[in-house]
Amino acid sequence: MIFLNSEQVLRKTELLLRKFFGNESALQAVASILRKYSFFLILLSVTAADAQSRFPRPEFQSGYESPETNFGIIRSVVYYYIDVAVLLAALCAAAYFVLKKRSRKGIFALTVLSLAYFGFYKKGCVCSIGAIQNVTASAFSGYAIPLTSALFFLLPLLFSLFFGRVYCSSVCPLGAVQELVILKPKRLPRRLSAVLGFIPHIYLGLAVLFAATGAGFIICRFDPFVGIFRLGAPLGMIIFGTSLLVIGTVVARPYCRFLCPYGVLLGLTSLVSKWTVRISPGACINCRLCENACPVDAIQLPSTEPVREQRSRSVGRLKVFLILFPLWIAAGSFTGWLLSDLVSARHPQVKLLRGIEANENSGSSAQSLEREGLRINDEVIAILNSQAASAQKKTKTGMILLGAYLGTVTGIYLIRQSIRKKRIEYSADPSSCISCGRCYKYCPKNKPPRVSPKQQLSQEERLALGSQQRQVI
Amino acid sequence: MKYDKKTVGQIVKGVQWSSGIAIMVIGVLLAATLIQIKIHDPVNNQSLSNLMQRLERDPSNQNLKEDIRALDLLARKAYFTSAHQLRTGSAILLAALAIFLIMWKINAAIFSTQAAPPVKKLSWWQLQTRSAKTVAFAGGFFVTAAIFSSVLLKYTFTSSNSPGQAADYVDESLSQWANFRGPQGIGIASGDAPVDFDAASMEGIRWKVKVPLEGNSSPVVYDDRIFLTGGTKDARQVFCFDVSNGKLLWSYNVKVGGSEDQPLPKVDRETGFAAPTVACDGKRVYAIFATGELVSLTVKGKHVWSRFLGAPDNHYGHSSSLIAGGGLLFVQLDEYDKGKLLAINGKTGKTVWEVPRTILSWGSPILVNTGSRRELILVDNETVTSYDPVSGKLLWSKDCLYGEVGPSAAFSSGKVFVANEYAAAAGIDLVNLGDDGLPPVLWEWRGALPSTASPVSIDTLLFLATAGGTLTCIDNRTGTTLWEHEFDQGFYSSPVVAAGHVFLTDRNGVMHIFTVSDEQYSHVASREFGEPIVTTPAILDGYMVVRGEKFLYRVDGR
Amino acid sequence: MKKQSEDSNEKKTEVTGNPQIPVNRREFLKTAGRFLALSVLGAGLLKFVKLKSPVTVWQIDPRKCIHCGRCATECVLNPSAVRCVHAYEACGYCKLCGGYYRPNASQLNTAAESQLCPTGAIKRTFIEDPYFKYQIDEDLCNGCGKCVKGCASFGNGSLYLQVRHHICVGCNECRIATRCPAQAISLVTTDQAYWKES
Repeated sequence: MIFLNSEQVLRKTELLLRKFFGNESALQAVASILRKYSFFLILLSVTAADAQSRFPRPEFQSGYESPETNFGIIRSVVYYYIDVAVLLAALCAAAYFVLKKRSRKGIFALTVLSLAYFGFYKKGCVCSIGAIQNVTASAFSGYAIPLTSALFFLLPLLFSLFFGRVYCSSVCPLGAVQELVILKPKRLPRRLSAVLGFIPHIYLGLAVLFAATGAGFIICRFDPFVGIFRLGAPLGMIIFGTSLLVIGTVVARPYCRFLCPYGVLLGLTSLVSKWTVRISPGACINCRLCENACPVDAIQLPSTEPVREQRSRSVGRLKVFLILFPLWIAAGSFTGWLLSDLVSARHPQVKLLRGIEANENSGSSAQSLEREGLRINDEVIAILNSQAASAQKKTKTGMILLGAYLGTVTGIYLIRQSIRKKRIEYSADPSSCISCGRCYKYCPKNKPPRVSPKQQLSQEERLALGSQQRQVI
Repeated sequence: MKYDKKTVGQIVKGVQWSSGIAIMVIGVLLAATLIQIKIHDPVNNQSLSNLMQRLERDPSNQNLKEDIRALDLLARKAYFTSAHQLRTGSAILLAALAIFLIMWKINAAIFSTQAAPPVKKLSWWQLQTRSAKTVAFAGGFFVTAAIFSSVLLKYTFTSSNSPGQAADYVDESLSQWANFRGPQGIGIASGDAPVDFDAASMEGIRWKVKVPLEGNSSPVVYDDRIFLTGGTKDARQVFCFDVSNGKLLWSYNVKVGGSEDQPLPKVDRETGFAAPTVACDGKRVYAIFATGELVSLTVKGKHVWSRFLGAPDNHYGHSSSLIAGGGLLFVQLDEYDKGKLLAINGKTGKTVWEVPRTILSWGSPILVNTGSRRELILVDNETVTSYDPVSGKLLWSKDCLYGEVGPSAAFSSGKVFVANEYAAAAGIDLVNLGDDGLPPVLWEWRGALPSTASPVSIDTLLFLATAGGTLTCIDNRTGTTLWEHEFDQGFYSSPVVAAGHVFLTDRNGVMHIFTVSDEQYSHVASREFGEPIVTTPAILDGYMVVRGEKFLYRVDGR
Repeated sequence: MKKQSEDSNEKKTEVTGNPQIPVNRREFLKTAGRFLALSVLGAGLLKFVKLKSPVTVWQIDPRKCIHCGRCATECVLNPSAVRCVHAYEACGYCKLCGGYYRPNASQLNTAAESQLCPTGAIKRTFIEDPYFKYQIDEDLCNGCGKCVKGCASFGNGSLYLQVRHHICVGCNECRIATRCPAQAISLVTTDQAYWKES
């Protein structure tokens, strides 16, 4: 009963404080002070407990010395910084292979290494995708984020501002595991991928909402591949991960394209990236060879038809979409408001409260562990009630904002569909290109035609080569 | 070294196939192991625990012990080997998967065929339009689906356990006790009430729960919820309990009205901050506190509106309870100089009408049906006054009180009765009006008069219970004493009549139950609650809800 | 051959004939966007995000723990990263140990029918009359907490559950923490990685 006394003291104080302050922030401030001094409290109570401990430590006659409790080694902080260093190095290498070396082989090798380190060695944690939630929680609640998590969130974004989505290409372990299983990538119908492309926005929004309201980290909860990295996980996780990988053999990188919330952020920052993947090192000769090369359908075709033909129609449509834009936002916020109860029902406090209520109504003992664990009495229920109410309120606001955000995304998408950018060559869409470097292989101009030095070139051939190169410049 | 493309290809294919088969086999094995562990959890083995139970009954059975030891060993072996199998199995599976992938890639490299660029069928614009339309359609569909489903959800939700519409007047319902002293606020219950119970042994008591915050407000019951308030100088709260099990359904912390630093009003220790009883109209519950905070919550505890009326300047502390009817909430806010009676729209919290009140009091309004109309009847230190609940028009006022009036009015068959210490008891006839068109005072009676407990009247009888412990029964037609009975303790809790019995609780928490009789005090029972009681019980059909100093009881009877 | 080169020449003129301004404008917009993004990231991080330099790990607060047994079943790892720890300093070295014996054990011996631990992870050795030493074999322990419950209710509470950091993979969101009925698992800094006696 070493811990009971101090526990009682702390709990009593906490309950009193909660009752007194009612609001969380003040409580947190006091709780932090309490935590600071709880050491002394514990010390006090331990000494007190020693005196009243049920079975006092015996005086051994045989000279027995009690062994030290072995707590094992705690991973040094240094290792966490090593992780950051590895991330940084991998990002640099990825940027080098993607943009400078233009080597698919290099990218592939790095992919395998990243999968081995961040995936199987680090068991998938910490990852940049999950770090979104740590950053959000830190911004909205008292949660303080470890520097390493913050860096994991920040570094890939910073890199994407300059080099595009090199993180996705060969650093991210989730991307890597999917990259390796791509066997026969098929193009998805454009309409399907357009609709599926909205899921990451929803996922990101919900993840931020959940993290901000303290409802948990859903990105981690539904991470499909950690089970594979750890060679074992709850069954649902494994089924989800495996099916994504199976789908991934024909639909390249399904998680990256249709789920990944971090991809949304990277896609945004890559839009303003300084250097991005260029399919052809020089000017594109529009040979169309790369048209089928991209596993994630990021290659944009050059505009070949006269633009003016349907201009009036497109202008008309643009007008409609511009008018619809605020309507989308309104509809989104309204829908968010409607669905907020559904979402807030997932909040742990709300769930706990509902569970207790349901349990009491049915008279079963399913919830009795929580009842015992939280020492639930009317006071705790009253606190839970107020916490749940505030969670519901926050979720409502959050859902309205999320709806507005999704409305905005939809509106912008529609408007963008009606604006035509003039393209003169095959290019990779910076926001959806994951820099895997497959298209490099397909471009006839990526490497100069390899001519064995022994082989004598005829005069004509040399001329042809020359003219080819002249065309480039 | 010369590679024969075909042979290499065949080897690669073979490896690929065998690794593929290995993946299948290992996958099936792993799944089987997983399922096995799920079904017969070796660590929490059922047959082992069955054996253990048998051993407990038969502790010296050596054979049983041997069985247990064998089974235990088996179970532990199974546990650790299965764990080991799972770990190694998944590692092998992964390795096989890697081989399969590598072989596939080699194969693809050997027999690489450049896919022909697709033939374009649609123009750029057509493609763009199509995806724009699809996205717009999907978005629209999502919004519609959300609206539809939430409407459906809401509908099923409200229809399953609807708190119902706001009731117009809760007059004679068996299952509601919507305000202080029940229907019309006159202390007459429509239902039957238990008389046989024992709080000490909990016999006949369905449940007993602690009320989180002290307060002198009486419980109110609407449908399956009990509402009451508690208040100290630190916090004022509204509580809702489940009638069936006494569980606290919700509590609401009332926000401090006005400015934060404003001083709390002085209240008497016996009044407290939460003396006024709440009122409920079925949809919303209303609560007021001595601090002047008035709050409206849904029966589910959601805030609807709140108003700060200013702490009533009133030397014992505000204690007039609320009453609601006809969509309005009536607030008697009597204080020095600037008192008023408010009728507030229950839905919006806006004042519908307001009349000034000049004289102090601590009584509560009653809202009675005289047969021809409804009247809102208030007492104060000098008068008993009636208002039209719809318009706030003053109907009549009689100067027949004196002192510091705590007891509210009683009402029976068209007559109103008032009483207060140092003044008199009086009967007023609302049906047979006088020559001036106003209700006449039928009689005045002087004797042992109540200071806190309100009178109650049934048929031709009027009961007065005093703080000194005297109970008097008066003929309410003539104002003559029928009988008198002395108790050891005085009364703050008002008597309530239910099914031929009067329930009268003294300050020590002893509930005296006696038969309604014009001849003598005919004792039925005295039931001790074991703690002081100053509140008035709520009597529903077949049970009552009693609030003591600390606990809340539901009494069902033996 | 010649025709082809003419074609490509035409294309070339198209390329060069494209006015330079839009390209520049686009470049400018991109640069502006980049700086905007940089400043948003930087300012957001500095303004809103509360940084903490040391790393945090998950740990069980034994004062809150009710030894429900979910640690053994809810961890993403199998067996769980939660194991029982024995604080010898607090142990009473009892002959009748509530953490070692089943509540109704008829004999105080090391036989399977007397032991509480389902995996046989607790080793009992005689020191001197009437004291016994109890040692946990962590490789066998699965963190079910049965012994912890026994020790907490009949003993000094010297057995308690802890997340073992050399096993724990440090999930961003601990799965046991989300399922813990007592909300006993939280993030602590590495200097408080284990609960120890004073």
